[in-house]
Amino acid sequence: MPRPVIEAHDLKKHFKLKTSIFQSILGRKAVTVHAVDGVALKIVPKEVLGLVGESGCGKTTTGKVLIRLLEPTEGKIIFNGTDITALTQKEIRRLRKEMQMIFQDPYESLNPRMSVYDIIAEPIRNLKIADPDKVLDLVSKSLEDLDLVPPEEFLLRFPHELSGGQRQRVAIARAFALDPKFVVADEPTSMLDASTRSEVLKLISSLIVKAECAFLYITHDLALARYICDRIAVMYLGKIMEIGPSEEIILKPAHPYSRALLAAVPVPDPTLKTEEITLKEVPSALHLPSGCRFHTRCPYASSQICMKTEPELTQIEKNHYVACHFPLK
Amino acid sequence: MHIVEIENLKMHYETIRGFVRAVENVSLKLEKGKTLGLAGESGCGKTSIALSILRLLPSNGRILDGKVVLDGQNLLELGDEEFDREVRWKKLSVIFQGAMNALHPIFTVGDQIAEAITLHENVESEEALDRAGRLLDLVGVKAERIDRYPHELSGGMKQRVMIAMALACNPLLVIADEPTTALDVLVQAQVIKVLNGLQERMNLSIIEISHDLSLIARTCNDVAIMYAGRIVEYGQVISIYKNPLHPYTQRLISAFPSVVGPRKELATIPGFPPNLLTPPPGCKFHTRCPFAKQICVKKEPELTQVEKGHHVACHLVEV
Repeated sequence: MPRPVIEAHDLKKHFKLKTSIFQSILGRKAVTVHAVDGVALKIVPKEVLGLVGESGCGKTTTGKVLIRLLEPTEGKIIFNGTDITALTQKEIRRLRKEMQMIFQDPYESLNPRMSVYDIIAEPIRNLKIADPDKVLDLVSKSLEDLDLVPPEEFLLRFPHELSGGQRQRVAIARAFALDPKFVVADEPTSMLDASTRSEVLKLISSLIVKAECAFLYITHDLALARYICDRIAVMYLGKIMEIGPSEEIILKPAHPYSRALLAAVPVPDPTLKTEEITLKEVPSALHLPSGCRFHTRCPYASSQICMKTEPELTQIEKNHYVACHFPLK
Repeated sequence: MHIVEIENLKMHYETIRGFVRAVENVSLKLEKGKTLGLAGESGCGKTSIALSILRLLPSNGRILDGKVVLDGQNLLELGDEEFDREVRWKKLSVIFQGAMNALHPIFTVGDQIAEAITLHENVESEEALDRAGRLLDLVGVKAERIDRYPHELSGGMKQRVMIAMALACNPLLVIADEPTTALDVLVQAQVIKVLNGLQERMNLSIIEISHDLSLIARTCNDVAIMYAGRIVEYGQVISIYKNPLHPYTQRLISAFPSVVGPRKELATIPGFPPNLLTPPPGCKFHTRCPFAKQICVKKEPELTQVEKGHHVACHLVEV
C-alpha cells in the first residue's frame, strides 16, 4: 500500500463557547462543543474519501482542521510523512500550495471584483509556483482542464458573467492549478444542477488521477458519495461510526446510523420504496450522550452496554470498520 | 374533477435588452388530493409558473396570455384586492424554500401563524393562537413550542412551521417551492413524511417545484419536466420514469445517482440551456440534443399524448 498523503490520529477540535461576565460571576463554567471528537483517517494518493453525515456532525470542521485552517485541540496530523500539527502558520503557508480547499458556494468563494484570470493567477503568484511569464500559460491550461474552452473567452470575465456551474469550475481550477497533493472539497456540487453536476464530478475525478492527490469529499448526499468516492466514512456527532469501501457501505451498511441515513436518501425510481426508519431529534453537541453517542436514537440499542461503554472502531471485513456493539449483518 | 387547470400560460419578463420568454404556452392539470411535480434545471421557468399563480411576480413580469383556473375561478381575471381577500391563504398558499429567511426573527412562531389566521378570517386572537397550537401539533413541532422564536428551532422544525403556516386557513392548493432543498437527508425525509401525512388527512392538492428528480419520484403523482420555459414531457410519474421518451428527460433522470441497485454511470448533458432573450428556433433542446434532425431546427414540436397519462414534445417520438 502506498504511503498515505494525509493521516489523522485521534484528532479533536473542541470549541469553547463564550460565557458572559454575568455568567462567570454566577460561577457558570464555559461550555465546550465537541465538534470533532477523536477522528482517525488516512488517504493515499489518487484516493477519494467521502465524509458523510448530518449537518452539524463535524464533517466540515474535520476538513478544515486537516489542512490547518482551524487549529486542532488534540491529536496529530501527518502530511506526507511529516507531523504538521505543531507547525507555525508561517511554515504552514509554505505547505499551502500542496493543501487546497474547494468550498460549497461558488457565489461566495470567488472575489466578485477579480477577473477569472486574476482569481486563478493570484495564488500562483503569491506562492511563486511559476515564473511570471509562465503564469498565463498555467491559468489557461487549468481552465482547459475544466472544459472552460477556449480559455481566452473566460480569462477576462468576472464571476457575475458566469453561470453557477462555470463559477464552481473556476474555483476547482484555482485549487488544482497549484498541483496540490491533498484537496478538501466541501459539498462542491450542492449548488449545481444535475446535468452540470455529473460533468463537474467527472472532471474532478480525472483531475484527481492526473494530480495524484488525496481527496476528501465532504457531503451529506450518500448517493453522490457512492459515485465519486473509493471509501466512505460516516460521521456522527464528531466521531466516525463506520468507514469502508463505498459499495460495501452503500449496499451492506453495518452501523444502524449508516442504515438510517441510507434509508432517507430518495431514489430516482418511483417504483422502489426504501425502508422507512424514523429517528428522534439529534441530541445537542453540548451534552453528548454517555456510552455510544448514537444510543439515544438507535432503534437497536437495548442493552446496558450501549449506554455505558463507547464502542471502538473494529474491523468487520477487509478495510471495513464499524463502531457499534451490535453491528448489522 | 380538476382542482387546478392552467391553460396556455405565457409569461415574459421585460428587461432593457428585451423580453425574457420565461414561460411559453404551459398547460397543466391537477386533481384534488394529488401532487404535481414541476421539475427542471435552474432558469427553466418552474418558479415563474408558481409566481404567476401566486401573483408574486416582480414588477417586470408580464402575464401575456392564458388562464389559471382554481376551483372553477380564473385567478388571472381577479383584481389584486379581490385576490388578496378571497384567494390568498384561504384557497392558495405557499411554502418557500428557505424557512430561515421566510420567518420573522422577532416574533414567536405562534404569533406568526396566528397573524395569518386573524388577517384572513374573522376570529379572535385567542382562538387563532389556539389553532396555531393545533397546527404545530399537526406538523409534529408540538404545541408547547408556540412561544419559541425562530432562532430557537432547528432548520427542519422551522420548515415544518412554514408548512403549518401554509395550512393555517385550510387552503385547497399549496405550492411548495423546493421545500427541502436547504435541509439534510434525514430532516428532508421527516419533512416529506409530515407533508405526505397531512395531504392524506386534509385531501390537499400540492404543486411541488424541485430540481431533484429523486425527490419528485418519492413524493409526486404527476410530473411536468420543463426546459427553456416549455413543458417537454408531462404525465404520471410512474410512466415517465419507467419510459422517458424525450431525450432531455432520459438524460436528466440518468444524471441522478442512486443508492439502490448496481452502480450505473451518471449521464451528462453537455452545453448550456439557451438564452431566453433570444431562444433558438424550432425545438429549444436541439442545440444540446444528440439526435437532432432538420425538422428539430425548423419546427417547434407540440406536446402530444403518446399513451394515457403520458405527453411528450419531441419530433422523434412516434405516436
